[in-house]
Amino acid sequence: MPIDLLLALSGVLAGAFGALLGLGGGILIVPILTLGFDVPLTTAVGTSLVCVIATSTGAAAFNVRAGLADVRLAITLGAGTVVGAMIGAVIAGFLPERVLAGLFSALLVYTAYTMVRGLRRSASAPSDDDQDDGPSSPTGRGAPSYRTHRLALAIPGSVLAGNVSGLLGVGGGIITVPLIHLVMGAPMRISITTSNVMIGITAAAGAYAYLFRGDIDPRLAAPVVLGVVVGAAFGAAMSRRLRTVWLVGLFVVVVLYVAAQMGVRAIGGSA
Amino acid sequence: MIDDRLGSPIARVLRGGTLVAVTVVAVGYVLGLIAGDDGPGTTPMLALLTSGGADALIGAGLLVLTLVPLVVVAVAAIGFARSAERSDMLASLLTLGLLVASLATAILISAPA
Repeated sequence: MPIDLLLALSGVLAGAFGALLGLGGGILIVPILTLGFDVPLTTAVGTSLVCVIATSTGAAAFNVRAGLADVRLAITLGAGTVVGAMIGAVIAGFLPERVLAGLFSALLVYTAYTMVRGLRRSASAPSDDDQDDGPSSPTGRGAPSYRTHRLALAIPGSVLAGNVSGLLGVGGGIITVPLIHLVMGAPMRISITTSNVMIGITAAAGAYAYLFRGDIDPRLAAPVVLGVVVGAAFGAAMSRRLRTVWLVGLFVVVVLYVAAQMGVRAIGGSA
Repeated sequence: MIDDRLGSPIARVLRGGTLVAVTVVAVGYVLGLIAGDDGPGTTPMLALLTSGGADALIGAGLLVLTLVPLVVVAVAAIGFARSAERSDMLASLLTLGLLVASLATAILISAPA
């Protein structure tokens, strides 16, 4: 029971951070399960993908209802991420654990870098996104007027995002959000909510392989999934009350620490 | 980009599917705690579903959860077809086909020979 409680609390933590920072939560679940509970990496990745779906569907229900997510774009790019996730999930079954740990460590460092860069950018200049994305439908009254472009460039990017998701058990939002925002030109908030819809679709494509291959332990996954759902609801409720700079700062410190631990595991240490 | 005619059914699927899945997982988890055993460990889904008891319930809940995005894409495809939005309907059908292929491949690979 104490271990179940710790698993559930880990899920709450990952779900809350995931909701607060617009990530699926997998970026924390995989290292928590592997480093904290000595769970094999493929089992952690499979469990994480199911949790990513839980956080995505929970948040997407609100965002789609409120007209804040571009469902058409999510489904169009979803085709690319699904292809990538299918390839990633198959490859993950054959790659040595050390290689997966090394790749995950590199992903964590990239995530930290992206978040720090985002903070610097928002600190140096007021974002024009704030003017663009009000709390309304992309086509509703008072909605941001934007047109997405460079779809041909975004499709290969979405395949890459899906591949990272299927391989490492993360939502892929760390790639799809910049892809939709910077490459396709959608406002930041629309990019986050649209990515949130996408990561559920992407994670599902990867999760089937893990579920049916037998890489998920039901007694391990249940408390984590339930914790993630509670944490995501808490995180969504708190998202407008906390100062982003402190939140991201804390997140970056945690992510870099975990990246170092995963790096040590990749090299062959005992972390 | 999205109107209420499409957004409402998709939101209902997302909310309802998540609620059903999480409830089934929670019931299975509680039953497992009451049973007091350690469970079967990592088990392929087909074997898990046919094993009965608490773990089959957890497995069913997890499976329902992973099927929610697939149903969402199907509902979107139907919505686009009804409003004669050909390109969006084709994109939805492509994504749906890939998800179904992913599911079918996973089932076929794991099925006992």
